[in-house]
Amino acid sequence: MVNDKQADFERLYKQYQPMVMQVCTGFVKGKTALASDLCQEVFIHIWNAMATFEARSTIKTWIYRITVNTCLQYVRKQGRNPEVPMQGKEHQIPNEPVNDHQASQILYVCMGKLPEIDRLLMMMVLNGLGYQEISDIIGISHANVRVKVHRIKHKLKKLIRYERQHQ
Amino acid sequence: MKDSINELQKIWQEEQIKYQNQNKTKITQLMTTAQSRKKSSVRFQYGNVATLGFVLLAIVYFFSFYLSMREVLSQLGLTLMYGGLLFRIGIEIYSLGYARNIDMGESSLVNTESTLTYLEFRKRIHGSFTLIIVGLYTLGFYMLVPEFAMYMDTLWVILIAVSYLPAAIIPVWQIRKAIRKEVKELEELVRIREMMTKVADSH
Repeated sequence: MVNDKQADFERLYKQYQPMVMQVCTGFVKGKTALASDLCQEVFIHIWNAMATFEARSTIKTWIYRITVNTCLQYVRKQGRNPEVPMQGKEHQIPNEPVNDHQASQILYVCMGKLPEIDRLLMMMVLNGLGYQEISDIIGISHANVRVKVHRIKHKLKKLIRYERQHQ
Repeated sequence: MKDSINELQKIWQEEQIKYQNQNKTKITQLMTTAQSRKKSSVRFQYGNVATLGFVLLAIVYFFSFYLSMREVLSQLGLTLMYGGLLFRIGIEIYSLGYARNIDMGESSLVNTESTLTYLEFRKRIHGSFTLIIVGLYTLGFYMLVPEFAMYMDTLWVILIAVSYLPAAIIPVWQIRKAIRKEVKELEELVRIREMMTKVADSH
């Protein structure tokens, strides 16, 4: 029984760790050490909640919910930090071509300028999640998700244009 | 850099592959941490109840077998002290059940609402409930003093009565600190909930 749980957990970890780590990194504005801690926290919650998973949603939606809830729990416990733009050196991804690195760097910087919920919503969109899936994760109506995402996309595009002009 | 959403999605999803190589945490270590964290959390939660229970038993034992009180006023005082502690233990046990019902796998809005309800409940416990309990306990304690005076020197009675005050100030100070922390968390949660539920203005 315990071995089954461990095997399931290992499988989940291998499959979803990159996704969770990316969301955490985006959420904490590229601070990799902090993102690692947050990612570990997410998997601790997953381990503890595995017995309660009822398959009412897909496993990916469930893991996303735990990830988003852990990020919001972090905000709650740390208090609101001023929206400081991310420093370039904080987000370091090894072995990347310079142009790709610049493109992703700009994306992370601009994502970091969005408010917490908008940042999380945008990451879900970038991960290819549909409005219904996002609505299931956040718990707000499909229509509200659509309106919010539309506004955030617009805002992100403006931020990216501004960032490119000022580089 | 292109800024169409499709391009951004492509960049984002390509980035995700790179996180696979950054995976330095060992799974077994993670499972051990999760298990030990759960154990220590349970130990901490039940520790409070156990400590309060131990204090109650010690007081009951002391006043039943060591210093039995005979006066009606003292009996009333003891009832208030026991009652206050029992009430507090009951609230702690109820609170544990409440916390266990917060499911991290629920949607963020449901999770936020459950946490808000829990924190509001904790705030009430640390606020008015605790003040009532401390008040009842203090009143009960001072109702014993007249009978103490029958068997002890006045100096000892005064010392006992006065020494209770600093002993009561420490928990009150700790409670105030806990309330401040919980109020901050509540404010953050309310802000998060508003951000979630607010229908965005379209451009």
